[in-house]
Amino acid sequence: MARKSERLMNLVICLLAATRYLTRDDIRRSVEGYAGLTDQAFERAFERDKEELRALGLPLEMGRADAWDGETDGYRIRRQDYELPPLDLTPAEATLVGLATRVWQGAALDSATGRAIAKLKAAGIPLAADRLVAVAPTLPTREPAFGPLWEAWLTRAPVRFSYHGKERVFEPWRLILRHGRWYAVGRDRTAGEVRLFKLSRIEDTPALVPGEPPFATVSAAELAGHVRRLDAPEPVAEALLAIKPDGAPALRRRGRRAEADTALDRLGDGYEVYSVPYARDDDLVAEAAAAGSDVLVLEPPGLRAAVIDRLRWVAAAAAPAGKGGLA
Amino acid sequence: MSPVPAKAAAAEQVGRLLLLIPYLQAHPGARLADVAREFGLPPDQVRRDLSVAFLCGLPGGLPGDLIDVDLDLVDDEGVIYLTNAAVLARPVTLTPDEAMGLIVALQAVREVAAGSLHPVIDSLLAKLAAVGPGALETPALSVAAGAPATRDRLLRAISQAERVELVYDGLARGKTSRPLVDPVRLFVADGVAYLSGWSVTRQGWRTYRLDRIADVRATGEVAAAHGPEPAHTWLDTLAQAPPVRLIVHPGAQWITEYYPVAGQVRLPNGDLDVTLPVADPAWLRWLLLRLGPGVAVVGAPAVTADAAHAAQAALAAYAYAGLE
Repeated sequence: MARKSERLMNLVICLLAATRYLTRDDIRRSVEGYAGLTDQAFERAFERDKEELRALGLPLEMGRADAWDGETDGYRIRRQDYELPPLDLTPAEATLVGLATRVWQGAALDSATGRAIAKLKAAGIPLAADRLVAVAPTLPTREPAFGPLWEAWLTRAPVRFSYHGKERVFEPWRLILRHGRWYAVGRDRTAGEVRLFKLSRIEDTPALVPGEPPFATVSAAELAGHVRRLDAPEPVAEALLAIKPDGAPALRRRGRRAEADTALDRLGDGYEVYSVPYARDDDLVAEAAAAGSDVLVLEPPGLRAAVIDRLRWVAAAAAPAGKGGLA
Repeated sequence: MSPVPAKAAAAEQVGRLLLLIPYLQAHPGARLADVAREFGLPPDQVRRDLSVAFLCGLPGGLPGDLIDVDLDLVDDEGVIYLTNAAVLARPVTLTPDEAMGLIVALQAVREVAAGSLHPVIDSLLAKLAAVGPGALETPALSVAAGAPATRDRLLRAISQAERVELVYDGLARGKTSRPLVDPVRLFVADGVAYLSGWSVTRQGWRTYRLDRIADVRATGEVAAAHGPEPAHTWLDTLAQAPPVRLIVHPGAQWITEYYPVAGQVRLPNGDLDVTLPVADPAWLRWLLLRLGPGVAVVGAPAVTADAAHAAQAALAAYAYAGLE
């Protein structure tokens, strides 16, 4: 191993120090580890070594070299492509980098982030021990589709997967994390339109489509518009609710105190009246029913009737012959 | 011997050397043990890497061309001086995967950090973006982490060991409560930020969702020490909770994506037979009232009766108010 490591190191140093493209012959003469190999053995070793340097993420560049016998392929690594540019982090910024260490816990990106942090350390940036232990974020990536979608997004490669029983070819423009779930927005080539996919609903392992040029995305503003489709819909109406003082916090905090209605003097038990904006009838009915006697819908009457229907159904389910028994 | 094949092992060693060589030039006289700890490597591994570095250098192989490491000093005193490696003065730049992994991780930190840290994080993100893969739209992260002011006050209370009163909008009981809490730490699980702390009111460890903390009030009291937090998490507790079986009709099947489900079977008529762990009966009551005809409980008459009782109380309140 040590001899192979030496040869690779010497190759890196030789290519980095080069001020022009080096031909294979230049490299064979210069790098000690290639001495004494037959032509065929050298070619094999050099091909493998090039692959290993690329796998290490080194920017190995090919170009035309001016050799003494004419033009031929040559190789070099440009320092400005190779080197981590100066980052000049303040001590406070360096401390925060340390916090990033554990964010991808257990996910595939854990090791990529770890390598990034090791490189910053290697650049001499003092990453202080995290004093801010009070904040410990982690990102969930339990969707099996996350890894392939991340790679497709990062490399702008179209990706193929099955969703709702249909095969799609998709360009992931942006990944979105909402409520602990990942989504991807982009062009669904199969449907010919911009779509939002929920990663947990992808039914197979997405595969990058090989041999495609990187796809183009749209402007940040247009992307933001697509991301907004995940936001809660805008309220369209207001309901008048009677809420017990500490009850139904979600409804109460969304609403504002309202004037007492004529029915109020018969409510008793310290109900307070709120006007609560809502977007969808079904959602308001579900929320009000879930709160039980903590919330009474006063208006509109249609919603009140829907809540009472639901409560009656649940009340009846406990009856011995009730339809909820499912014996 | 290492189980790693020699070929992969050589590439890994080169990867380490491309980190160690710039690091050691930036830290002349670094201690072997410190270097090993900094990179999470066994010290003898670092020592072996150094003996390889010692044999590498510019073409020519003459003493002046080779990287210089005083290996005797390393062995005798554990101190490393590495010189004559100007061509490897800097580490390799970040790959797109590495840069974006770090950037997105820091965005997650930003989501839960105190608001006062946002300018620092933003300037750090700008510096990293400059070395990153360029014009990609970074993922839009949205962690349910409550108001920045809430986080600021909790983080300050934690660092100064203050007891606080929370105004907490508990979902399971559908009530606002005002527990006295000794806050210990903030954490994020599955995209939701929580406060972990000792509830003085309940005399036990509790977690609180930050987005349901409506207010944090000073008490002027000092937080007490309560020993280490229990190792098990709320999700572990939930995993051990007794399960309830529900038949879920199509309109209510979103619940399997919102709540941790222990098992689900699709029935021929399109219903789902769902096994749901239930740590808090009040939460199940809330869910059954919410879904109404969308679900039916299987074989747990007490659960059905509990929800029915709550529904009857609500119907009685409507009737009393003449609203039926």
